[in-house]
Amino acid sequence: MNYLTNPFRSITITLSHILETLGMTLTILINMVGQYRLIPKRSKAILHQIEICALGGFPVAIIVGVFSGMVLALQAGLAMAEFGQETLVGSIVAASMCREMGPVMTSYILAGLIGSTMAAELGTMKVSEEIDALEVMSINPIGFLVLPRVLALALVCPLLTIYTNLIGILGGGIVSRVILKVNFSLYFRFAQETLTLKDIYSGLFKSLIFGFIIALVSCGQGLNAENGAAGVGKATMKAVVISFIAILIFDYFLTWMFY
Amino acid sequence: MIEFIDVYKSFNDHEVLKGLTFKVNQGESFAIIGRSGCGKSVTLKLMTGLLKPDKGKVIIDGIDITKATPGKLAQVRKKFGFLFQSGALLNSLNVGDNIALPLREHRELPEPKIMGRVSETLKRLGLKHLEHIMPGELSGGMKKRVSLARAIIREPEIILYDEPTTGLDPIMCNVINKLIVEMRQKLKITSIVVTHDMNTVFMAADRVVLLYQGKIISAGTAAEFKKMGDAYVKQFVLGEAAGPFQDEDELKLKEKSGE
Ligand SMILES: Nc1ncnc2c1ncn2[C@@H]1O[C@H](COP(=O)(O)OP(=O)(O)OP(=O)(O)O)[C@@H](O)[C@H]1O
Ligand SMILES: [Mg+2]
Repeated sequence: MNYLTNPFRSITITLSHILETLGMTLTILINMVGQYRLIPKRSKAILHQIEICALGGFPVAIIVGVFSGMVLALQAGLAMAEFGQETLVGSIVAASMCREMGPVMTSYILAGLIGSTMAAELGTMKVSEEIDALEVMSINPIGFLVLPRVLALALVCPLLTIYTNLIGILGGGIVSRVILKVNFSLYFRFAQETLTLKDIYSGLFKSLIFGFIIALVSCGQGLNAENGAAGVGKATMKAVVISFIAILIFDYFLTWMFY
Repeated sequence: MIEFIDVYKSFNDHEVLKGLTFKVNQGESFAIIGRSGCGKSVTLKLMTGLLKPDKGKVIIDGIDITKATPGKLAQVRKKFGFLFQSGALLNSLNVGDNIALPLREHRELPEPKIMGRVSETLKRLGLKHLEHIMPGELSGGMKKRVSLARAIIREPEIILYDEPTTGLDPIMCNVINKLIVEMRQKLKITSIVVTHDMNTVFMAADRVVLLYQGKIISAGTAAEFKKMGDAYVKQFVLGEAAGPFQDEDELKLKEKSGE
């Protein structure tokens, strides 16, 4: 109620929420790192999660990839056509896809699709006492539930990014051919010439970090859900929002680190 | 031995336990009765370290679990089997895997023996051949029995039963009551039973305590409880509407109006 009338108060509240979330997520991260010895024991669960993440993300990644590439080609191509440089559109699409659009768009999709699922699943487990039951059985919920999910998404995110990149470049090629009248071989030659190894691996490294963060944040929100179904809904919403914001922030710093 | 010393626990402003003190000896069968919402389930959660008391000590075999490190706590928890009031089965695992989970996780038996043990335990609870069913497909009473199977499968030193017979038909109630007696007699397991079922108390308990307003208001052997003159015990055992028990809501209203 005071939020609007007292900006200082709202800032302190927001700040304390951010610090709380950060602390909670870091605690889970540290606990998870301490469980690394469990990785072989959890291999079945990890594979299962990889399957869920990959199958869930794949169809949407195709659509998002195609349209990202098409939009890029259209925007860049039309601007460049004014200077008669539209033949270079392949370079722009390939570089932007691999460095930026591919990793970020794929991560956004995975945050919406997989992160929300993880938060809802773990949140439901929390409010129905399943997490308590695990703890009483001396099974660490972080090793049992969080570790496989984080590893799976950190692996699947770069893999899906490769798909998104390829499909995006292809989509860009189609727009270049149909609208800008740049033929395929020219488009792909410029795409290939511009792309450096660094463009590719920096993008994939970003994806890996984003996947890791999405799963960590979402599981963390789920494990801290409270107050029944409403609490699970809130945890799910927060998981997606925090993932989005974290992707943006980390994207900036990772880009700054690489270039 | 399990010991509660002057334990206080409140949620927000709601004081649930106000100086709870009791002791359960090894091999003993101990029943906690009391009205709905008086803090019985909370007591069991404090006993397993799922909740932390605001004040007081919870000592399990000489270790104060309120001050134990996570590693130590995990070690103490291996002594426990816990039947949750809600069952708390893992919804993503089938019945067989749910029951086998505590054995598998701690590698206490070779894999072929585990499944034998699981089907044996299921049979004992009248649930033959249910291994491959998912928990979502079970009735309420069946879920309860599957959870019971999970709690007893390791034959732990201490079993906590939170309302083991609620939601079961009278025949099954009797089976469960007999099982509780058997677990104690044959395996010398310490049992703590929270229940509203006086049959369970009289059949399976050595000692009974009645919890009211955050404290134990009467204690005695099951036989003593049956013929105790205490007005609270009488009202509870006979289940009468009129008597010294006051409704929590009425009490709260009185507190507010300053009586
Ligand atoms: N996690 C929690 N957060 C807030 N309040 C809680 C929580 N757990 C329990 N309580 C409160 O503590 C009180 C005791 O709850 P508890 O579950 O121990 O009751 P109970 O004696 O087991 O009742 P029943 O016989 O109905 O199971 C209740 O008033 C409940 O509202
Ligand atoms: Mg209860």
